[in-house]
Amino acid sequence: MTLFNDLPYELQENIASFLTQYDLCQCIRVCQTWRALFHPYLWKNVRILWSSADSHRERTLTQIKTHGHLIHSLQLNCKVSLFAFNEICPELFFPFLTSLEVSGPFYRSGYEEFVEIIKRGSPGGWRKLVFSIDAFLDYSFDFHQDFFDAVIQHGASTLEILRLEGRCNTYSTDIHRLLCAAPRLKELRFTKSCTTYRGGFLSALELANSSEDWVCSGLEVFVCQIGGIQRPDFAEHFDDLPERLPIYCHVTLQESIDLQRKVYARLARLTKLRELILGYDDITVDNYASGPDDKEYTRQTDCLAMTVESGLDLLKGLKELRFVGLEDMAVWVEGEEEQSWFLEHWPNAEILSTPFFVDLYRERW
Amino acid sequence: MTVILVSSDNQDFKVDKEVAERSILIKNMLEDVGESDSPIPLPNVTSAVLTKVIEYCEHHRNDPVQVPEETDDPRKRSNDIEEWDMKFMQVDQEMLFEIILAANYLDIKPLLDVGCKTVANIIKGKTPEEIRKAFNIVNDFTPEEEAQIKKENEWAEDR
Repeated sequence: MTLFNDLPYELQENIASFLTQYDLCQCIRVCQTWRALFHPYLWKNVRILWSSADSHRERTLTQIKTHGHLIHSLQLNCKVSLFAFNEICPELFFPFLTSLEVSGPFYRSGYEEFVEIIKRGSPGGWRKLVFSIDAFLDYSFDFHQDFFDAVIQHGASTLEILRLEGRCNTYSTDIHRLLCAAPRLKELRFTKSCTTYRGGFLSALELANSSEDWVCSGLEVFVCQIGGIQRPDFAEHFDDLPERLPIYCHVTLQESIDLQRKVYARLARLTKLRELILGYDDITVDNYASGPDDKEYTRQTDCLAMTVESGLDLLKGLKELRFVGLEDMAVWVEGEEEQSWFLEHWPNAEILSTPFFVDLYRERW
Repeated sequence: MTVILVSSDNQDFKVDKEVAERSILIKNMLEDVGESDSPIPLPNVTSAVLTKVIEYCEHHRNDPVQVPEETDDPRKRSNDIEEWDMKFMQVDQEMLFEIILAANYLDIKPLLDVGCKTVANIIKGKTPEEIRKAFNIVNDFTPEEEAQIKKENEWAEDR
């Protein structure tokens, strides 16, 4: 009779790949054979709660020290700072680690520890990096050049997923550099929790002036703000813009459109895109504390128009799109011309946008 | 066009080429030999198992060719099994393992995955004792060893 233990190892491993960490923990307690079989699998992908209890942390560290050589992917859910982890880290050796996900509240530390681990590199090259913090904290993390230097040095040819979620600030030059260096990148996700924090930010001017091409032609997910676009057309819709919104005067409409076309041309080469999110997601008039003028200021200077007039047609080759987030950035996407364009060229995509609320704006003022 | 498959117990199975080619092994064999009427021997598969495998291939004959799993991150892999497959897999454990072995030998990836998922679903949510019962396994740990393992894995027990 054929038993579980008679299956070839690769099939047992295939079965293990459908089990959760909890299930694998039960499996290694079944019998000696199962213990030997499932133990490496349990440690291949580990999800660890970095607890606030000292004793729990100590025991966890002991286990990580013993099994570090088995870990391919490590998820740390931090209830406290990673400081202790990093102190021990020099002793730790992760010869197979290619995926690191760190999440937690961190209490003002965490960034240095995370970057420290990234800087040490991965013998196989970083494949997946995630830094995710609680959106309700009142401080943010700036991801500086040193972080991107380390990512490019240790992962340019291997990196597939980079997610910085919550209040993480990143800068245009670094993001652009990464997009020009990481050919295997599939997902770039910089989300943010409110306007005070920029999240991912790419400067349209920088993109337009750079002669370097993005090499990540297989990119499937792009969640990053593209801003710094002056939009004089926007002003036409207001009788009396507040005085501190003068920026639309600096360029002509044609200059604005030319700049946007250069940005669209870059995006147009990402033909594998499934998810494209350029919008601000959760800024609405209601939670925008500083008032609607700031919001409209941001809208008109910091976003693509996504209109037929501004060159939307350049993006008609993005046939794989399933999800397009244009919330709070679109001036004309509710226009009939744009609506039918979306239907015709992106029939499978869900387009999220918020209405152009000139009226609402007027009401408030 | 049909092909003849011969099970290990020497039974002939006449199936449409399209159905037989769900098996990458057979597909490659047919490509290698070209147009030929000669039966294909499958010495690793009994007629009982081959009957089941053909039933699966018949049902899925028009499925698009499966793209390899995007992610090798196992915790992201779904355990969902479609209804027909679930019913199809309601067999005794020996047959289940035999189907998995046959799917592996014949290189029918979707069937292999459905089989492995089915086994995984038997394991899921069970205590070690319940797993032993389900797979007819004898506990060969000493109580001390059991306590030790439980302690070593405290870090992961929370979820």
